[in-house]
Amino acid sequence: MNRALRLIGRRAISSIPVLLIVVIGTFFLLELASGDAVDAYLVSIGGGDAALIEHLRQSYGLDQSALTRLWIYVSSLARLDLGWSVAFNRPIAGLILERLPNTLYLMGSATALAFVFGTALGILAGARPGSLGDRLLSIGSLALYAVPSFWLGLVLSVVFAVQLRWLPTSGIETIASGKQGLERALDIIRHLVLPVSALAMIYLALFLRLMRAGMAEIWRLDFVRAARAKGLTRARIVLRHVARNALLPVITMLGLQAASMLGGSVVIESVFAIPGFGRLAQEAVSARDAPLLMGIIVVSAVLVIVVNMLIDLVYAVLDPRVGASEAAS
Amino acid sequence: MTDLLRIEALSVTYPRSKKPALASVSLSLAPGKKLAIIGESGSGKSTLAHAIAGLLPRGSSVSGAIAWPALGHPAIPGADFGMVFQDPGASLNPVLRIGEQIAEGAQRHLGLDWREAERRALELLRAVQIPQPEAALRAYPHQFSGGQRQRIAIAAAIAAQPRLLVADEATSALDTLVQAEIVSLLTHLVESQDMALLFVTHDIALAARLADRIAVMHDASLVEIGPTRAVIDTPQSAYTRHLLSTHIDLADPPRIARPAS
Amino acid sequence: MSALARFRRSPEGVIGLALLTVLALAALLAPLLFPGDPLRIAGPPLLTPFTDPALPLGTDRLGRNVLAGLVHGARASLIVGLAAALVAVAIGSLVGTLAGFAGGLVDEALMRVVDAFQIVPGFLLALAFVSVLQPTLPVVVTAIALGAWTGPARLARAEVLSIRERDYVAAARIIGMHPLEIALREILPNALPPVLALSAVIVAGAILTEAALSFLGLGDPNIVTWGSMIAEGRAVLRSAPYLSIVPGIALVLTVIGTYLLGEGLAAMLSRRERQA
Repeated sequence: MNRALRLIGRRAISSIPVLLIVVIGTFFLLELASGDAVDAYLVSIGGGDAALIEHLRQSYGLDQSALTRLWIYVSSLARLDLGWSVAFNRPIAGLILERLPNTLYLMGSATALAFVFGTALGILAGARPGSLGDRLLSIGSLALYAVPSFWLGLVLSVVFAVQLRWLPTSGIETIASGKQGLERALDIIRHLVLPVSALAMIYLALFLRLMRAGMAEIWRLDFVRAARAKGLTRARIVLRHVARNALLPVITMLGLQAASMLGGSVVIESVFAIPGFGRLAQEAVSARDAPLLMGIIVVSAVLVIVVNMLIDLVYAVLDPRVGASEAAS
Repeated sequence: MTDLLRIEALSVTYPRSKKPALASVSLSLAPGKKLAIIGESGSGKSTLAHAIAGLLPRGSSVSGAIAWPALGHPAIPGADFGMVFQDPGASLNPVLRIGEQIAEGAQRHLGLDWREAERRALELLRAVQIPQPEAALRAYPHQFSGGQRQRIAIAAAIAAQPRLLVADEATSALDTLVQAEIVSLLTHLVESQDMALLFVTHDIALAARLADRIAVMHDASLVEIGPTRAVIDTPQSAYTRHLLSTHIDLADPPRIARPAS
Repeated sequence: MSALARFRRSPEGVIGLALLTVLALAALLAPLLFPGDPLRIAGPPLLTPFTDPALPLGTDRLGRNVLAGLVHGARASLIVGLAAALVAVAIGSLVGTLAGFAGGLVDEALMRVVDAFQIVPGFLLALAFVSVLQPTLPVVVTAIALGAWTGPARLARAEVLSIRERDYVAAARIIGMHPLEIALREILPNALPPVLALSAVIVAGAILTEAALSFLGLGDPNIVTWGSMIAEGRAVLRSAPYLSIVPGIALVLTVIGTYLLGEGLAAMLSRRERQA
């Protein structure tokens, strides 16, 4: 476990400058906007006099120079303060924290679904390279990999919610149903089936293809021939020797896709009207709430870093060679 | 004595290739005997080993016969023969523990459960002289040196007590000193456990030191086979004479660098 | 010639090329096939497909010709996809080559920037970028490229690191070429083939991102895109689902075509490399 802790520590330290680049970059990107949050607010309340404008600017610190505001932002960020949302008139941190769980359910379930079925089907395809099953899965996954998740979401909801009426079309749970405990959990699961499937499919296809390609490479390696020469069962060769090694690049990809999946959930949450983190981003964009958008980008970067740390840990458990060279020195 | 292995007119052509990799090769191996197959790379010696072990790539066309008279049935990989490969870095699965990789053959063929198979693995690690065998069981391949890895690969190959060990260039990737250790380990193991050895090598000196009989291969064909002394002292074919003359003085054991193969 | 023959022997590449050729023709000929603004009203609203030969795929909620929108949408998809990939590959190759060649502190700094771009969800970045500026075609292209250049950058850097110790680079250094000149004239062309193989994936990703952006209403409002058509159809999803489904199918076929063509090109390139 020592090895794992060292990995985490090193990753955390090397993330700090990267995160700083994200903060500074985003800050100046949002500076490019014509008009600030106060302008947007004034439009929403139907205008105001010069004194009110001046007062608002001062209270948000918008009268100071960009560098001063960047410094204030970074130092309050260090105290985990993300600032104040003009559009929602609430602290941003609380707002994000409230929306984050729905997105984490969505992403977590989609990742699990994509990983389990993607690798399982990938093993099925990769167990006999060139077979009919392999070719069908290969073509099918390529087609699936080309399907935009938001469109798939619409198609799924036309079929399963509108036509068949099996599942709800939108939301995260039935509003004001008064459901509690297990009943409420089941309600939420029913609401998540379609969005999770829509979000997961493209990654399922990706993991399938990666697993299949990885296995095709590994079949040619010496240790697989050695396993065959030991007369092991086909199942043991496929699972324990070939698939076990092909899993490693899939795990790496799992981390690399975390950011992309977070982006994908923005669109899916919009399609299914799920009040999550991604929906919040869209709301921030339409309300021109730059501080909120900034907070969302910073939090999503942190989220991606954390996911990648977890993936590093899993990888270190699965691949004994990780960190071996430094342990020796 | 009934032969352990008898090969008759064996020909192999790899898929997408016109030239046969093995052309009508016949030879036999008695139980407990050591046969060296020598030849340059591309001579068909590894193809022969792979054909015996059933490791030819799919789609290869094969004719002739591989029979196992002493067994009375077609050989079962792992149970009736074990195989050791050239590169010990590549022939062990990098993400599985050594113990498991040795035990899996024993578990499969000896009717042992995993605990018993693990105990057998420990015995084998002792037999191949790995230091601290208890700890080694739980270790991974990258934690060992090349020579140790080859010892482990040998242990895994003989885990189910096969009658034949096929070593395909098993010492070529190792440096000379380690090579000598592995050779003496192999000799000791096959002699003490009454195993036959099929030793594929391009090193004629190594073959001479180790084998009871030598088979010389050239251009997919068997050019000569006979007792070691006879092949070395009175080679029948011009090719064997050529090999001997361009190679090394056999009075001087394998200290001289091999030509690159 | 033999490279072309190899390409033709890969069924994926041929199918992909055929798909994309049809699309490219549709995109090029759009102003001839359907002259005038595809956003103008062409008939009665919500006309069912296959009922009026003049409007074979029917009309949308506002009576706009769906087929005309589809053909003009191909233009937007292909232009944005290709342009964004071009920008991404150009920036990425340049940054990666520079980092790999310069090494040291410059490499370290550039790679941290690459890391930063990789941990921010590309789609979120595009969303922010478009919302800050105006949703015009060049802005959308840049926004998509911002999230896609890190892959080519990493690849180019890795290629450079493997190439830069080879003889011809050392020779260039000895004759006193400036490092930047060596990078641009000797290394970049050599590192390009694998980067190009990655390009198909980037084009496909860019097409999908553009569709998602315009689906959320962040595309250029003055041009028809498949994403905006899908969004437009959403309002009548229950009564006329085909309005959303048809442009989606066009999108899927385009992306599949791009992947297949990419696989064909990769097969061609890799075989050529093995020969060399």
